[in-house]
Amino acid sequence: MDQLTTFFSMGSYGAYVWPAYLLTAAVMLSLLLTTLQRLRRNQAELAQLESLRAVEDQQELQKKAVRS
Amino acid sequence: MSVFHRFANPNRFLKLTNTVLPWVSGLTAISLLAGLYMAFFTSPADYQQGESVRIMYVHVPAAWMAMFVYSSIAFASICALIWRHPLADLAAKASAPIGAGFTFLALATGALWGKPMWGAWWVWDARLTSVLILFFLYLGHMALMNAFEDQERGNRAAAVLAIVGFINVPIIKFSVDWWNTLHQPASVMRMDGPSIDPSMLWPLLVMGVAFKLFYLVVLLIRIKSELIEAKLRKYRRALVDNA
Amino acid sequence: MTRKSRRIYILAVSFTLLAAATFLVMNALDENLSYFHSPTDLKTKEVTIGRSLRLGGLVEEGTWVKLEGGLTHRFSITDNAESVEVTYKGIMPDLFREGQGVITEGSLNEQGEFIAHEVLAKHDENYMPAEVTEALKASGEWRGEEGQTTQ
Repeated sequence: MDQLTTFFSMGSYGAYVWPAYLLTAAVMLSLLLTTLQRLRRNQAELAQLESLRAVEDQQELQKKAVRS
Repeated sequence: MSVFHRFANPNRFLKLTNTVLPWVSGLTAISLLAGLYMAFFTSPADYQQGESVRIMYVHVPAAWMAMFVYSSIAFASICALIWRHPLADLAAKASAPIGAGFTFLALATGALWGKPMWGAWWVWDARLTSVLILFFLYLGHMALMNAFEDQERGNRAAAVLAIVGFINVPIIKFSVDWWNTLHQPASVMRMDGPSIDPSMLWPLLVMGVAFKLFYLVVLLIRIKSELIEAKLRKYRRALVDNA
Repeated sequence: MTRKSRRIYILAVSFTLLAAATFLVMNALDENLSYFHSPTDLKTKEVTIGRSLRLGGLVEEGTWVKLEGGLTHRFSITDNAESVEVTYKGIMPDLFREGQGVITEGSLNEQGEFIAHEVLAKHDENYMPAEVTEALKASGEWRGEEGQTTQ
């Protein structure tokens, strides 16, 4: 317990050391998460559009089949 | 230039990215954890600064990245303006927010270190001021990219800004040698070898590698995302034309 | 000239011009880009009494005295050529030590003393474990910050 308190107090500089690390973690995590979120959103939309196109192509094929 | 052209092909780039990404992500996680462990447990307190020296292990790598990412953007901008590589503009666009984030971190953690050591959160000396200018250059770059209706014009303007602003990078690096500053001179990248004890140099270098790998991971994902967006725009246009 | 080589040419020329312009501006601003003056600057240049400026250098060994129960500090700042006596009323930063760098903001009075209203500690580029310096001190090899505890 005592060891933990000395560790967290950082020789009385805890009020500066911990915010520095927390801020770094916050900025890097938010960079990573917003980047991943955007990728997911784009991938989902791409999949949707591609399936839409696949359906259209199918219809096109069926029309051709009926005509012939 | 043939090497560039090979990677400049979006499909080849995507294939390469997908194979490389898991490995680089793993390496990033490992080096980040190792760096943090060394920063908190194996590295000693400094003879002058005590435990507050541990702020160095995030402050200095963030400052390195601030300059490294900017240099990468300037390089990509040169490639974009001269050789018109399809991926160069995307790389510059994808890098800017990451670089801005690291520059912000360098400034903020520097303030948190300066207050207990120097006695001031901020001073207008040449080093601190030139890094603040770097931060504004990043913001300007991001704003310019999206300022025009025509994406091509935005890219062109942002590339010119990035190249012009590159003059600031050597100024940042040598500001502490050219003028009297409150900020101390370089400890690691100096002519006569590092003036920092190995027990503190190693955690610093490991964190430096970890930050660089982190940039690579986020950059690759962002470029991938941009490529998908380009495809989406094409599909949407096709849908509109059909209807 | 192909379009590509013309682009390279334009870019290289404009960047060189820009670099030259920046260099000239920085050369002209040299004085103003420095954050502080050295004791030699203060002695050799005309300094208006009472005008606010920053003075920086090393805290001279054996000159740090605390007056009025530790609230007022007197010490000399030196650049190993000239030194200026400084009076400061306030709290010292943690890193303030004799033999270490310091930057003070204030003004000169008629007696040639520097009355500071702000003191910033400047640290150098050396990083060393505390244990190593203690071992050096124990073996008598330490040359770093003698007289640090003299107050």
